[in-house]
Amino acid sequence: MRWITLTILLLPLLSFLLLIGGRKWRSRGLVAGIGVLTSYGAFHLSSYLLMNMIQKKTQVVISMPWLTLSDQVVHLGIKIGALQAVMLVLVSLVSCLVQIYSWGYMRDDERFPVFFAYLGLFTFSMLGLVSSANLLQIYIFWELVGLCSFLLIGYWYYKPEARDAAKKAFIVTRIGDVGFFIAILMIFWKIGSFELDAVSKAVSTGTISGVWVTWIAILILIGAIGKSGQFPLHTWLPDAMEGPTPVSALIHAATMVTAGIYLVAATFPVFLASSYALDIVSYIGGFTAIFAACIALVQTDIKRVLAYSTVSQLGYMMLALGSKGYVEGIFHLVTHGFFKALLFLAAGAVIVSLHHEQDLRKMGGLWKKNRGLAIWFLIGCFALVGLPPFSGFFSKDEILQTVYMDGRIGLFVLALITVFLTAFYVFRLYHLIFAGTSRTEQKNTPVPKVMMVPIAILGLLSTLAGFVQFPKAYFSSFLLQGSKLASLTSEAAPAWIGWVAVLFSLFGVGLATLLYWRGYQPAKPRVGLIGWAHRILEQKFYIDQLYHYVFALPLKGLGYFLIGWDRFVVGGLVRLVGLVPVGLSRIASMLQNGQTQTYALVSLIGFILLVIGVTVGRFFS
Amino acid sequence: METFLKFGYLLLPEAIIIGSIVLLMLLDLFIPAKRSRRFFGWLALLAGLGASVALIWVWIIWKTHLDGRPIQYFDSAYLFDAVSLILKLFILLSLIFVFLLSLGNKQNSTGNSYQAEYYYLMLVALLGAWVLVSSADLITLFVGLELLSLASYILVGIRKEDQNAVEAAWKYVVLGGVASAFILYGMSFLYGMTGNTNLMEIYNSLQLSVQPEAILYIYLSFFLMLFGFGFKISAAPFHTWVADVYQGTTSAMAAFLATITKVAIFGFIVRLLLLSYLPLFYRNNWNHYLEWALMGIAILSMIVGNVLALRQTEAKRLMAYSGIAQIGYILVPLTLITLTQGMLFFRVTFFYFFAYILMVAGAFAVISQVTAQAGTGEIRAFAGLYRRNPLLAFAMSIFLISLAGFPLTAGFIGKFFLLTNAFMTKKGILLGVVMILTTILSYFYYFRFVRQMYFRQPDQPERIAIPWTLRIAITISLVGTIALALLPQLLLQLLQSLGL
Repeated sequence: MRWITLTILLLPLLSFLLLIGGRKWRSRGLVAGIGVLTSYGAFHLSSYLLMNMIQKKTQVVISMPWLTLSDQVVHLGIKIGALQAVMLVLVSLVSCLVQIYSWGYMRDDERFPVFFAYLGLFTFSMLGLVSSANLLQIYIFWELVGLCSFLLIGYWYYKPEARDAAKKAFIVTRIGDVGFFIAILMIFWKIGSFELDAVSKAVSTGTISGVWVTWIAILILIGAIGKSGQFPLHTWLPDAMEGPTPVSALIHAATMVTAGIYLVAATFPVFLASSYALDIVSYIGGFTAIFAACIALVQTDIKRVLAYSTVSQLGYMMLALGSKGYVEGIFHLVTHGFFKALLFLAAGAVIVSLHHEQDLRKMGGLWKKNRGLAIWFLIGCFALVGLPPFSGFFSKDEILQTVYMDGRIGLFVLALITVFLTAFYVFRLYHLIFAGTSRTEQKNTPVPKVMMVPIAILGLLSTLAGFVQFPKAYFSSFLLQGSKLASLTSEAAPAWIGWVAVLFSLFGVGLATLLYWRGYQPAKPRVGLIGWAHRILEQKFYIDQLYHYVFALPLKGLGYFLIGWDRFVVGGLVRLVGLVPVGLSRIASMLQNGQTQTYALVSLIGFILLVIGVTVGRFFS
Repeated sequence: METFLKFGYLLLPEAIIIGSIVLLMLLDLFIPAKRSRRFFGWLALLAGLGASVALIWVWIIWKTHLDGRPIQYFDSAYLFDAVSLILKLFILLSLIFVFLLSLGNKQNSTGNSYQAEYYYLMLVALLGAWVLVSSADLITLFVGLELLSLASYILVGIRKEDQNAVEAAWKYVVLGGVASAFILYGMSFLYGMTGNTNLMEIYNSLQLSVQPEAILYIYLSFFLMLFGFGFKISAAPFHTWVADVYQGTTSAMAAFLATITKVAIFGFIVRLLLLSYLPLFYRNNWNHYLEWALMGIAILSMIVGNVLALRQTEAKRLMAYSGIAQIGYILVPLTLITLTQGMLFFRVTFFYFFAYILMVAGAFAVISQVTAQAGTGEIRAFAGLYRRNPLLAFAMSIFLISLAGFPLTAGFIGKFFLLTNAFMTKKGILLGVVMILTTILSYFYYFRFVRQMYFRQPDQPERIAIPWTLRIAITISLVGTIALALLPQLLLQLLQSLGL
């Protein structure tokens, strides 16, 4: 089993190395073939591993010493438990499908091999992240995932928006990473180990005190917030839509954003030990869910609607985890992986057939022209909205039950409202694309067959994936095997929750259909409260602007201040004091432009301030 | 004298350097003035390589025959111990990088004049740096310091025809002189109050009893020296000279100042703190102030360096400011030395220094070639480097992300060690958090290079050629930067075997 696990990891890396070496290769079939085959190999072996674990209930553990710092040995290690096996399958499967799809989507791109090389590296990083046995190693892959997303979002670097979006994604997620890294250092300080096992053991035996557990949990959560695009660090995710659509699918379904959820799940014992941390996780999740859903209501870019929908659905997962719903969170992660990948790939097909038009206001009438695509898209929509028997219904229903049983009724109501909002924006999206008549003159381009295959596979999975938990909870029992985490979802959860959720979503679908089934209506002049609300939503609650004024400008100001201080304040002082020395010697005065004295004076002032600063207390105390 | 006769062979590397300096000077005298002196560079490089072989040989002898115990020469004025050995190695390695940079590109070193002087002054500076890290006496310390400083003043301004270089050299001389004066003044107080110039003797008298009225002067001496060192190592708020000097001088010389000078001065500070001033830190009432002074310098350096670098568009200026920040990082374990009981101090600091030398030398090697070809020192010289030489762009990216502390590079492991050290104490958390937060800022300005290299179209389409000496320097730094990240245990074990 160890060799199989290692091979799973190394296959995408091999693809990366081969393709980056062969970035001048002309044959697209060869390039895509390498990418698809290696990721399929990873998927095949991962499924084999998963099957094996289901039957034999074993774990794979590999570990070797890496470095010794004082007396603690830091290991490099792989540990595949149930959660990790599920993640391996999800990541490699989605990656494989996305690469098949990219064969068609990127066919006219000049740097075709580089694109596939990046995808390989991205897949490798994510697989490495989920199979790491210790936090330091997770952090290394965590940063690598961030780097790959930077490369891929900025893949079309000649577009200024893509460049900015890539930079934003990198920097904003780094703010979260700071939290995660501090958490790792604290864990090492308090426990003396990075191993996930050691951490959960230390928490369960109470080796570290409650305050520290809370702090560590919150800091880990900050990392997860950054990666998983939760409020208030969500701003990078919608901008990341500037990357090629297959990348969006990969980022949103299997890699990058799921890393945050995975991290919280992998360190779940820490969160369980602190009710305060669980509260924060739930509230951030619940708030992000409804917040992003609101913004999605008014977006006019097809991919941005889906992006905000991802933010919102990730909020659901956080909400589930915060309500102690370990299995529910992961279950939704998996089903969401399938249907969101489906929706993105289908959206990409829509974009291709409309000559790279992404504005919803210029679409419409695609139902008549591409029936097949419309049906697959519809399946994705049903799954996202959560209508039975599509997979989203089961996972979302379980989340709602968990939240209800956990007793935070306020959040439960928010989650229900979000169900309605989700249904509304999803079907607004659907009708704007497919209903009515076309609002552009151009003819449609046919969608390449190779792009439809992954869409169909994901469509089937989105439909059927829910049945791993129904009628019997196979998924839960597998995920919880050999673990102490208990699922709170029990038969005791009232059945009406499911019905109400379906009712809410049907209501949303109905309302959206009523408003948009004829396609896009040109905006009426909006006044009063509605217009005001619309504007706020359109501007995404002004979060970006807020960051600009609160963080970026003061920092710039500090820079100006420091330079100005050197140049003018101190310089002015010197000119005042230094009128006499200047001109003493001709040679000296030729070179003495006053600045050097300035420098000496700055240092002297610094010195005096330092002496005064650190000693003055002594004379007054 | 007795130890010198007995263990004098351990000073063979020093002897080789001194011999080479004399030899090169004589050679310069006897060769007709018209002959090119380009081969002096090769001779100097040869001397450096010879000294490194000697250093390693001495190391092995010392380890096997003398069980690695410290040897003291000349009434314990000059030491041979693990710290001096490893710092000498670092300094020599840096010098070899600087030689490779100078040989690769004439524009980097002197133009055509003063080739001979350039190279043997480098060796003189190396000797000064070595004396600096091996001394345990105020007088030898000062001699070493001035040997290093005076040689660097000349080297900064050796291109007399370049107005910028002259101005930089002039500033460096004046301000360096001020700093030296402060150090000397501080030393005089220390001597006056304890009656000793030997660091270990000073330690003893500080630990036993100092008159209450004398203690104030001891502290004054500490702060005066802190000023001088802060200046020489370019820590904030004594940093103001550094950007102008780096910008004015050549890339090779900037690399020299960024590596050799900083390593040597840092070794000096460590010696002085650990061998002499340590008892002060354990004296109640006052220890806070000393700790806060050091912490203040570290924190200020991190913030000021990173914030000022944000606004730079000139490559060497940017590196100068980022160097201030790097010094702030390196000072972190030192400021916490009493809180951590010195645990891991040498290991984490030296690990970071080694990584620092590799990435800084590599970055300057790339900068020197790219800016020389573009004829401008601005960052836009890097425009489209990916198109003009993909491997060079890749190497530069690795050096930059290593400086920023991104995983899979030596800089990450180094920073990680510094941070684990900081996080061993409660006070250190403050420093650690400042360090992590300011590191984010550094991504912005390192990103500026990346954006030019990958996202911009080149001004000139033709490929950038790299001389083979530079290619060697870049390859060594690149391989080292990555290898140190994958196998950090190698260096850790080495340090451990030295008892550090």
